[in-house]
Amino acid sequence: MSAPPSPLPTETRPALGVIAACASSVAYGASLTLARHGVSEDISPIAGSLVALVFGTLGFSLLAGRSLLAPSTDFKRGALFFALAGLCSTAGVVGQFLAVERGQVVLVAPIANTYPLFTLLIGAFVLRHVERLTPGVFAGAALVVVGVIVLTVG
Amino acid sequence: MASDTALAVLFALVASVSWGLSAVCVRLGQRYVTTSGGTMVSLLAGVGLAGLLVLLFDRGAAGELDVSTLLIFGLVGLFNFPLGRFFNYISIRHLGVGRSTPIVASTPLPAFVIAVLFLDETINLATLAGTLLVLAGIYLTLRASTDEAQ
Repeated sequence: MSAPPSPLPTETRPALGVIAACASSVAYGASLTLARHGVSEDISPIAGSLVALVFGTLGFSLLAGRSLLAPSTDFKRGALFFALAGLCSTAGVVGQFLAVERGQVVLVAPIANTYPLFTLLIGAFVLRHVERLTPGVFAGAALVVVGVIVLTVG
Repeated sequence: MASDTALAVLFALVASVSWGLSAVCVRLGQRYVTTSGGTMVSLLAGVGLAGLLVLLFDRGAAGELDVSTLLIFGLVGLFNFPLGRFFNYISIRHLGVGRSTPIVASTPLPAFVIAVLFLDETINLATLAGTLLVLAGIYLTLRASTDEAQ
């Protein structure tokens, strides 16, 4: 039986990671603001999400271009994880919409915004061979979660 | 009604756990495919699931779409996915989920800043306290060490 393919090289650039994380946060924030103030209530949230996803997918395919053809070490395995990630993201959006339909935002938003803690809790088990999650990381995430809850509800 | 509240809590928890799991899956997937390729796969999976849900529960949705709605959701999609999601995955690639997720999770902070600058949102004690807590959390996260596991 042949050995599994080696993982892709893990050379990292922390500064680029921080810039990307901040850019992501700003992009998500702009999207959130646009959705809150520009979207009418005439269309269902899930239908709106589908439209947003389609446009986003088309936009990304144009932006990414030839980088989509870069080689991978084990496409099937990697694609499975990323497909699961995409399904979980969409399930999260649907769950949030269903929650807001049945409860007030001041109740739903704080609970939904605890997701970084679940990332770290799940990651502590699943990623223990990939990444070391220290108490400082948990403390930082907890502060961010509390701050987001105060910001959202306040 | 209490049952509605309980369901709201349950669905919110489902959302939180789903998003939490998503970042972990990305981290695992990045060991085998490039971030660009993986992002495209995640987007296509999302389109598939959302399309299925619309077909099952909201078939009349197409009739509700007008040009302005399409444009607004299209713009939301362009900000959220090529920019938001792809940069999120890039940050996971270079920082790991430990340090990336809390920074990306501070999304309500730039949303609030945008609202203050362009939409006449006002600052109060709670939003100021929330902002400081978020910034403190990000600082603590970046200072923490998340070395690659040996």
